[in-house]
Amino acid sequence: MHIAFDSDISVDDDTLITRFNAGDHAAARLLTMRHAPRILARANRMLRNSAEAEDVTQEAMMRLWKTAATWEPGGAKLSTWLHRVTTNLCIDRMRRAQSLDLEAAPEQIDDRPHAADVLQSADVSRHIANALDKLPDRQRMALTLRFLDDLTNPEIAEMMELSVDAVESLLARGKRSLAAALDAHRDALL
Amino acid sequence: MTDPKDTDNALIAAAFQRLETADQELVPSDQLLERIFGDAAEVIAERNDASVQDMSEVEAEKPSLFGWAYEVWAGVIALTAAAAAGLFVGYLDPVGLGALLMGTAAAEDGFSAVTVWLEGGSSL
Repeated sequence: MHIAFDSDISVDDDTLITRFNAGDHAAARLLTMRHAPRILARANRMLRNSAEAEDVTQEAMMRLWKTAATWEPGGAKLSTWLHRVTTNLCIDRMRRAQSLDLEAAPEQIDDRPHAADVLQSADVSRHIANALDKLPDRQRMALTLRFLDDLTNPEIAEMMELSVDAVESLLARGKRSLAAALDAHRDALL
Repeated sequence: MTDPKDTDNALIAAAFQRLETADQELVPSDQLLERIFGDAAEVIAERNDASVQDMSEVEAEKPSLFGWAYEVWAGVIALTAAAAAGLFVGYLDPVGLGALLMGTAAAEDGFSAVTVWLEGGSSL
C-alpha cells in the first residue's frame, strides 16, 4: 500500500476527526498514516512482539474511531492521548501475560526480527534497541515512560500501579544497565 | 567534575531520542493498515445505520392525520355526552340546574355534573 506518510500535514488532527465524524473515510486514512507508525513503534518497544504490537496498534486506533464522536476539538492533543492509550494497552497485555512478574525470570525474546532491526539501518540505533530489549520488562517500561513520554515518577507509579519508591528503584537499575550497555556508543551518542 | 549519573542520564536521553527518530521511519504493514481502515469503515457504517434508525423512530412517533382526527372526534363525543348527562340530571333536579350547567361548562366533565347533582339532591 503506497500512501504517503502524513500526506496532508496542513490538516490538523481535530479537523480530521471532525471529517471522520462526518463519514469521511479519507480522514481516517490520514489519521492512521499520521499516528499508527508511532503507536506501532511504541508498542514494539514495550512488548517486543511484532504481532502483539500490531494488535495494540489496531486497538488503539479503534479506540480513536469510537471516541471520535465525543472528541473535543482544542482539548487534549491527539498524539498524547494515543500514546497514553497505547501505553495502557501495552501494560494491560503485559499484566495479562504476567510479564510484570518476570523481572527476575529468563528473558523471553521474540524470535521474529524486531521491526527496529529491519528498519533501522544505523548500527547505533540497532544497538540501542537491542540493549533496551534486553532489560527486564518493568525496567524497560519505566524507562520508556520516563524518557519517551516525559512522565514524572509519580505519574509512572500511577500508571504501573507501583509505589514511587519502586519506580525510582526501577529507573535507577534500568539506567545503570542501559548506560553500561551503551557505553561503547557513548561518543557516538553524546 | 561531572556526576556520572548526569552523563548516564544524558546518554540515555540521547539514546531514546535516536530511537524516536528511527521510529518515525517505521511503516505499518499493508495488512495492519487494511485492518485499521476496515475498523474505521465499520464504525462509520454503524453510525450511519444508527442515524437512519433514529430517523425511522422519529417518523414512527409522528402522529398521523387520522390519529389527530380521531382524537378530536373522541373529545367532541365525550364533551357532548358529558353535557347531555348534565342537562338530563338538571331536568330531574331543577333546583341544581344552574350549578350543573356551570359545572359542565367549567369542568367539561360528566363526573363533576353528577357530583353536583348528588350534592344538590342531598341538600333537598
